[in-house]
Amino acid sequence: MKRPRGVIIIGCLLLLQGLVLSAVVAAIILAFTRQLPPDLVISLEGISPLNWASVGANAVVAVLSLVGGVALLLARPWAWTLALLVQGYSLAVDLWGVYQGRTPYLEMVIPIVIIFYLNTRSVSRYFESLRHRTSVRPHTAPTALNTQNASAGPLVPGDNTLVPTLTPTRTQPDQQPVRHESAQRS
Amino acid sequence: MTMQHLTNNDLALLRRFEPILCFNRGEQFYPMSADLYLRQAGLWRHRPDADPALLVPPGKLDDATLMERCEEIAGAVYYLRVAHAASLAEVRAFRHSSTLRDFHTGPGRLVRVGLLPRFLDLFFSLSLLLRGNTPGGLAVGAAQRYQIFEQGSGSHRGTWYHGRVVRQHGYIALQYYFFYAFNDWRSSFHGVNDHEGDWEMVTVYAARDKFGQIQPCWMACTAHLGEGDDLRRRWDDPGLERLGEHPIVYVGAGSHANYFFRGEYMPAVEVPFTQPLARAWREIRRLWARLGQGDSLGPPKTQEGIHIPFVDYARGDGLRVGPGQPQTWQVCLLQPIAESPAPTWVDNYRGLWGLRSGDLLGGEDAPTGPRFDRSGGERKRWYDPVGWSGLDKTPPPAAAIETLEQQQQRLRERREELTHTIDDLTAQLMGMEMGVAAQRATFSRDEAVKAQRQLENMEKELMQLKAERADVDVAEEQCAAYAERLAAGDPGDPRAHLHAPDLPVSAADLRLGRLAAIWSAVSIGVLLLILVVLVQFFPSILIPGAAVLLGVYAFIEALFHRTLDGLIRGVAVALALVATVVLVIQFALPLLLALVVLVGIFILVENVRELIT
Repeated sequence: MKRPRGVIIIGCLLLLQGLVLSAVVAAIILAFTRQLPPDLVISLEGISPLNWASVGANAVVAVLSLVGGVALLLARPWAWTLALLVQGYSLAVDLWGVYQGRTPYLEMVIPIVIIFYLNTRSVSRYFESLRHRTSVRPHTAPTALNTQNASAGPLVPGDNTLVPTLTPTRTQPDQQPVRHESAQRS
Repeated sequence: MTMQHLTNNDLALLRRFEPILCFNRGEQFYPMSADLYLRQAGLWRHRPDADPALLVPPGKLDDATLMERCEEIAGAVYYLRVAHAASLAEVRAFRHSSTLRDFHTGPGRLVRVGLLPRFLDLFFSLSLLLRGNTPGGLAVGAAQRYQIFEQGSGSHRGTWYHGRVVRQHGYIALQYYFFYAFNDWRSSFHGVNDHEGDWEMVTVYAARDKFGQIQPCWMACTAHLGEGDDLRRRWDDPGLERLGEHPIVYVGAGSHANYFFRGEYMPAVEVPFTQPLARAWREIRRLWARLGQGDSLGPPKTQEGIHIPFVDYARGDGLRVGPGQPQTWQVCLLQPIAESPAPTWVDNYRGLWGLRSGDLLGGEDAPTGPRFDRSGGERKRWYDPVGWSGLDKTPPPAAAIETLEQQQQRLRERREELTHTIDDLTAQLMGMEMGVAAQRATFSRDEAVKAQRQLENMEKELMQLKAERADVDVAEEQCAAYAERLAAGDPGDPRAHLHAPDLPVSAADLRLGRLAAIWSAVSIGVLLLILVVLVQFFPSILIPGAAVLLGVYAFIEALFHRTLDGLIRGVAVALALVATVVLVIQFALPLLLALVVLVGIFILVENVRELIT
């Protein structure tokens, strides 16, 4: 199955997103460790713990975006889930911003388009085919098709002519007549 | 269906194919004699405008008294009653001493299902308080009574089936009815319902082979309320277990539903009035799929509404009853044989075999007997035992080739008929075409249109007939190939008739582990408690807090059920939809204007292009 061209574009966009986020996070870290030139150092005293958590989350998303972008370009089957995760997170943050009264409308457009595109049947089938391809072990002969199983689901193992556990000569714990025990106890 | 007299040969056939029933550890009730139950029961009558009346006290009832006291009174429901609810102390003592202690649920049913069914289960349990149910302690009371029956002396002790033999459509249907004193599925095994009295059945279908010998061909089991093809299995189904000619059946713990395979089943109860909701959801998904989004929609399910699943344990690790087993069968025939008449209650008692609890949904009321249903009509499995399991469209093996030849003959006749009609119609069509061509110059416009329409209609009819003949040709070829396979002794896929048969849950579900079980047991309660804490102490973050909480729950559930991919996809798409709605609301006017501009440009371009060309 041929890779849809949009997947390559999304891979590049994810890489770009990862690079930008990495740059922002790196700048904040450098500012925190005061390794930037003095005129670029910003005051960090007013930053709340919630904002620091946001920086941490952005760092994680930056890494995931980079990994996801590379994985999409290399056509890895799990890249689809990772891309959806990253874009879903971006949208959640944007929607939270809207709830708080901010207006990140333009930032919302790209994740929306990416999510709907990745969710189209042709793209999801493409990644599904990648999953199947990777799950087939090389040098393993395929098992014979069991037409009986195909119509009725998995077979329950069992001998159709003789069930050894039912042979009365064998004594097994689970052959004891339960009712009689019960009667003795009561 | 008139009552057939049995012969000794019929009795021998019943004996020959007696099933072996495998029960669970912890089972309290085994198939007993319905006559013994009747003789120990009191007869009661319920009328809509009066309290239940005891007509015959326990121990005084027999066939004659039963018939005499069950008068036809409009709205009256007669029922038998043996057990009385045990006290709380008795219940506690019984549970400590009974074999119920041997039963372990394993991964409970709640661990195997999602969050919504767990919520609904809570309401299902609460609904029992409102809709009428079997009193608490009745199951224990019934178990104590049952043990007394079994310890007593008399010819009616032991494990019994109630046999019946019906000849229909070339088959001999050997019906084995089992009567249990109580169905304690809910109170003892976390199932759907409890009710006093329980009738279940296994049918073996036999037929004469080409040498005139009677051979088994199919078998069917009652499992809850189903009927149709999925109830039966062909005798040579590789999954069926048998000991000699005795089929092995696994019985649900407490429910006494019969299953072909050992395992744990998950029958589901539909939440009332949820079918429209499920249908609406399906329509939304269909629309979504039409937009090219998500996976394509599969065929509609037979049960559409929202369901609460329960587990029916049919592990077969307890007592086995049947030929060569620790407990063997005693027979009571439901039809007369030689000098011995059938029990009169078979044909004349239409009341309930146990307590009438007044449950609005009926699930906690005792069942009626093997012949009649609650409306007083005959059960399908009684008057049409072959059609009940959908077997009336399948000929017995020895008649299969002959039936196929008859079908081939029908197809040949139809083909000849079609060829004749096609030839006639073709001649007519050609004539008509010639006629129209000859008169074309003199036809008025209306006449020409009319003639053309006639021609088209006839052509269409001809095409349909030719298509049907082609179908008949294909069917004939397929029948010929099938006839060859049958003649070679290949009867085809033994499971081809199945649509959605009952199968045990997969081994993967059973491996969900202890942690998942604990989570499923506490999750709903903890969720409700945290929501209350949020409402009471943190109202300012109620909405985001609840959203995060649900997100965490969904994540844990998805981890346990290995559906993380689906969850991420679903959440991302939902967020994208919400964000789209937000954008549409926020930019409604500019979007509308942009749309109008686009339409305007489109019309402009089209018109100008037309003008230029």
